[in-house]
Amino acid sequence: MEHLGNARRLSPILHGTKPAASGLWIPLILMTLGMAAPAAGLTTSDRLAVISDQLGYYPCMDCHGDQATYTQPRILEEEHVEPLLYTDTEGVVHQVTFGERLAISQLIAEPKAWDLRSEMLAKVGLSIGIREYMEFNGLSEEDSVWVLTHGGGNIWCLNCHDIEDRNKLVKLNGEKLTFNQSQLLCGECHGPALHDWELGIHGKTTGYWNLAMDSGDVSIRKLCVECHNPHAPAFASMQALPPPVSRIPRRGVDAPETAAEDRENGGHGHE
Amino acid sequence: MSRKARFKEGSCGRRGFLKLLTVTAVGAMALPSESEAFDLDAFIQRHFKELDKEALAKTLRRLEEKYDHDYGRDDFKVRADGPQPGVHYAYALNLSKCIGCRRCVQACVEENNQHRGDPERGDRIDYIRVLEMEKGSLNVEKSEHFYDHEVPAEGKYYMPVQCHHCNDAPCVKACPVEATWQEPDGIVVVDYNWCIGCRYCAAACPYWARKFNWVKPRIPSEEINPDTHYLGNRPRYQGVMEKCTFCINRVRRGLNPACHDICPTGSRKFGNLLDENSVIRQIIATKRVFILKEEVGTDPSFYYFFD
Ligand code: HEC
Ligand code: HEC
Ligand code: HEC
Ligand code: HEC
Repeated sequence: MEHLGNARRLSPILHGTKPAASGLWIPLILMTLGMAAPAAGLTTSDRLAVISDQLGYYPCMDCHGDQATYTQPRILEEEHVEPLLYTDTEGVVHQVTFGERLAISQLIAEPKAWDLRSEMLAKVGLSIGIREYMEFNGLSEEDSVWVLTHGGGNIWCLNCHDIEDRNKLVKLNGEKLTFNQSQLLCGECHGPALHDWELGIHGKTTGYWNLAMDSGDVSIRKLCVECHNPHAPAFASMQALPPPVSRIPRRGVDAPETAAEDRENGGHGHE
Repeated sequence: MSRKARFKEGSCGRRGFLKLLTVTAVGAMALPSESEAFDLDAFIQRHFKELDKEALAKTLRRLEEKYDHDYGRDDFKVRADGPQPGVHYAYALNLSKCIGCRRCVQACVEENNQHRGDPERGDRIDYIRVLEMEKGSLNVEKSEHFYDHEVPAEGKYYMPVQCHHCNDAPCVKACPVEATWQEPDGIVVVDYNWCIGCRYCAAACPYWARKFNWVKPRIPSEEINPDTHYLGNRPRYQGVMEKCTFCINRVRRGLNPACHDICPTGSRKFGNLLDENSVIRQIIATKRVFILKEEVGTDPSFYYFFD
């Protein structure tokens, strides 16, 4: 029924998190990973392996191990340029790269430049690279501060990714987190959301309402990053499934014999 | 001719009997042509609550065989899992998160074997109706449930409505034959073999939760969910009322309802109202919770909240 996809399995094993200060202790159900592995006996590194598997770029240190870090917010072009879908102000969908996406979010904050871009897009009728856009507008890289969609210009990659060990995320106090603890990172800035998530109110836990009846492999609590892209976290909109069609009774076949009969029965209760 | 004579199924116990009476009374000589052979077992079948263990087991087996035969399958399971002590089911829906995508409506139809209907006429039976509401307004009369566009729309919020499993249920009071009642764990159920199809309950329900089988439900064999419950999603007869049962076939085994698990936003919350650690109790303790149409005093087990 539910598409488990990259969803991550719950088990009663406590892992990583402490309930936020609420005075309320709930049996914290925490993520373990891997649909196939048995609940018990899963080590932290097993769980990490499953999440890391889902990251296209992991292990990060394969490249970042001997690579200098240039901390300036900018367009990333050499790597991390996986295509993203992006909808412009006219509702046209374009494919943009990760780097462009960051740049575009900046342009949205500058409506004038943004209008130019949509004008240009309309001209060529196609998605264009951010480089072309800049050339078109006679801009150089110094003219702009590139920001991340997330946080409206106030945060950059290295607020979340550890500068030395790229395989790790980093908390505000410098404490390193592995990729299977990303919710703790989010909680640094979104304390109430993390607290609600721990209580099961924000986000969702599929499978058993009664964990005592869980046979051990079906209850799953979704991680923050499964619903929110950490780099563009607004929850995506989607097409609604088709609406019900208002019922037009067919006389004598299978419907109320008269419309009056249907009305007498509460009318719209029976489409 | 009275409405009763339009029930075309012979094998559904009391209703078959009532039909027979009506038909006789108006002097019609033949049973409707589609009628199945008269099934004595079904005819004398007692009210669900009066079935003893042995009779129940026998009935369940008989039904499984019948459904396997009707739908050309070999995997029907008709459960009758009972309520658990200390459990009262409750549902809470986060109106700040729901985006109105109708994934719940679809999952419900698939789980509960509703009549699929004719896509053009749109007579599919849905237990969930998603209302598109004006932000800042709580007026359901002004809502729209035929919207068809990308969601969420600007300036709107969404309110899915389904059976509220009221503790003082007007539908239960309206039923002249006690074919519908509230179970000890709070689920309001219908005995399809006892329902006479008078539709009083539908008229009594303030939440548009009751749906009537005007036709014999049509469900392609490959779309059938064979995991059923006697008081829930087993195949229905023509001329009976049906409704949301919180997926009784699932929840009585500890699973969440189908609409809960499909929701991409995590707006839907389900649990045991009597367990103070349940998510429902956390919500009641920490969020602004309200009841739809509280003034009608039906004391629902279904809450809405904002956060
Ligand atoms: C295939 C090699 C490769 C892998 C694997 C890789 N990166 Fe990078 N990464 C790069 C390159 C090259 C840049 C510089 C891009 C530019 O300046 O245009 C970069 C830039 C970055 C930056 C921007 C800050 C900086 O160092 O300049 C961050 C943050 C980053 N990577 C994080 C990660 C994380 C997290 C992972 C693992 C999930 C990862 N990278 C895996 C090659 C890689
Ligand atoms: C708000 C915190 C945050 C910021 C800011 C952030 N990231 Fe990430 N990033 C994450 C988290 C959390 C993950 C892990 C996602 C997951 O588990 O699916 C991640 C994953 C990644 C990955 C691995 C994705 C994959 O599928 O391989 C790369 C590469 C990456 N980030 C690069 C960057 C770069 C480059 C920047 C800056 C332009 C950046 N991140 C900014 C939190 C952040
Ligand atoms: C360093 C601080 C920081 C971290 C860490 C962080 N965020 Fe944010 N987040 C922000 C800020 C700032 C905003 C913008 C808030 C606003 O606009 O009111 C934001 C906004 C959001 C929003 C609302 C976006 C919208 O457009 O509606 C979501 C969702 C979100 N973050 C999710 C996450 C998730 C998931 C993580 C963990 C991967 C995370 N955040 C980690 C600072 C952070
Ligand atoms: C099941 C999916 C799901 C999961 C998992 C999830 N969220 Fe959300 N989150 C949502 C939805 C839906 C919204 C509402 C978005 C909207 O209105 O556009 C939201 C909104 C938010 C917001 C915006 C403010 C608010 O509360 O409305 C923040 C911040 C946020 N989430 C953070 C998190 C963090 C942190 C986690 C993990 C601890 C998390 N989310 C897990 C679905 C999810």
